[in-house]
Amino acid sequence: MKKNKSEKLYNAITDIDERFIEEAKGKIKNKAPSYVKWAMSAACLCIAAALGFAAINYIGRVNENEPVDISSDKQDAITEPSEGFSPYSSEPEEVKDNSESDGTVKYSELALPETEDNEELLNMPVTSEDIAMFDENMLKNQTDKIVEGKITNLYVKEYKYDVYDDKFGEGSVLHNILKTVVYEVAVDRTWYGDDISGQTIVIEDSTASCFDPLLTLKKGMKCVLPVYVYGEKLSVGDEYAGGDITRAGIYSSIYPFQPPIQVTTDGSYLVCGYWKTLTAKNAKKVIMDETYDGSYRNFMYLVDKDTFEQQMKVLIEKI
Amino acid sequence: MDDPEIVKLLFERSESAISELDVKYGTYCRNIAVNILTVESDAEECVNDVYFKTWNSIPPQKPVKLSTWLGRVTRNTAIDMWRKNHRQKRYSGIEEILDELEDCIPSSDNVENEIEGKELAEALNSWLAFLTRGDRVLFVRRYWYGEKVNKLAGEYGISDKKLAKKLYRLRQSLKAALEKEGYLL
Repeated sequence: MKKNKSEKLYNAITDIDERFIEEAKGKIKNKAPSYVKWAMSAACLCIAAALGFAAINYIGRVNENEPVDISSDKQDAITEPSEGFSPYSSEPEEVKDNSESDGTVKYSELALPETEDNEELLNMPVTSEDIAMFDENMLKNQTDKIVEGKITNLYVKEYKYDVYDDKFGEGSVLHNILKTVVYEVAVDRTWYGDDISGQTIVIEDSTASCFDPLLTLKKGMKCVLPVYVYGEKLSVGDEYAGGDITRAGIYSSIYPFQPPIQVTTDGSYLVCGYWKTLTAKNAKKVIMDETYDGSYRNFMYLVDKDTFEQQMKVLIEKI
Repeated sequence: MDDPEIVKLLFERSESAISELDVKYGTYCRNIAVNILTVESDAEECVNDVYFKTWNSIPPQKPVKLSTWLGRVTRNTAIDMWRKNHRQKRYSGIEEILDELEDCIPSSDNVENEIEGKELAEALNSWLAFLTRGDRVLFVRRYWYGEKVNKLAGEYGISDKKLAKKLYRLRQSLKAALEKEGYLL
């Protein structure tokens, strides 16, 4: 009798929405890049560390309100954030000048649009762990769209959710706090993927770009952004036990740990040197102002519109 | 070859459509069939039946998404084979899945209406839409594609036991959702 019922359920599963069937097919292609998932988890741990003892007491059992006794080895799971921020374990090596041009341009002379800083974003907790350096190959089989558009809104979102974690006892849950960066982009060009020009999309990242006050994401900035469809819910990476994990937007950046490609008001592109293809031709090295104390002093290039268009085509061929 | 071209060949009654189907979707269909039937030779027979059914169904049918359509036909064909043969043969793939799905059957004390095929699929869709993407993908991989627990555990980088526990929680969640709606299977 029970068998008949489970067979009935099994048959009904055959007819579930094809979106779900497609979503699960070739799952590897659509899953978040591993370094992104890892970074989210690390950022989460750092927040836990920042919250100190209060965060540790946040751990509770499903049916009991009493905090669980945590031995010292379990506390080791909490990562201390480092002083200051570097997106890499050490200062990055200077990118080789891969441009054919020796031209330079001063950052202060770039025609950049008026933008608004977001203090909350700049003060977000950060991970102290290593993050793989950007490589254009990261775009392969991961990118759903490359869009160009203006950031019309930007804010920090906070999630509170629980996951089951038996290491604190059978049936215990771990309370988590996670902050993300949400930004709305009015798309005026789709470089790659189905055309969504004219639409506004919402991108949500686990981290605040490069954590460089000058070059990070800002409202009013016009950018070129490679994104993938992350989904409607936060991937909590463990056994979800409760809390609202509905994301503000379905898209995430392929690699949010470096300055976004910016479009200047005269149509050129300010590109980080790790974009080897995009900076391979006619790229002028950007000389940062003396007062600049970020990590990208020798990393930024200005590429004219025609070259960028040509090189973007080359890049898209590779992905 | 693109799906519309394969469908066009089927409409033109060109036998090359079947070889193109096999090139593009042979492994996909075989995997689904093997996951359900376990026995390789039966899975092969199942896939041949799928091609035969495809030849007879297109036209008049014109699937919007050929891969999903083929997946469904493969699943249904494999289930038919299981029904026909399970007294003589043990197909551990589907048997294990059916055993697991028993956990999802709502208790008859709390339910009012017997739910039928399409309505049940709708209830499943609503429940799946509520899940996190990771949980939804896991459920569909296990219970639609029939992927083995140990294979999934390997891919997720967790132990078989932990994955089985995760699946158990998902089944309990589905059971609770069906009970909440007052459904009886």
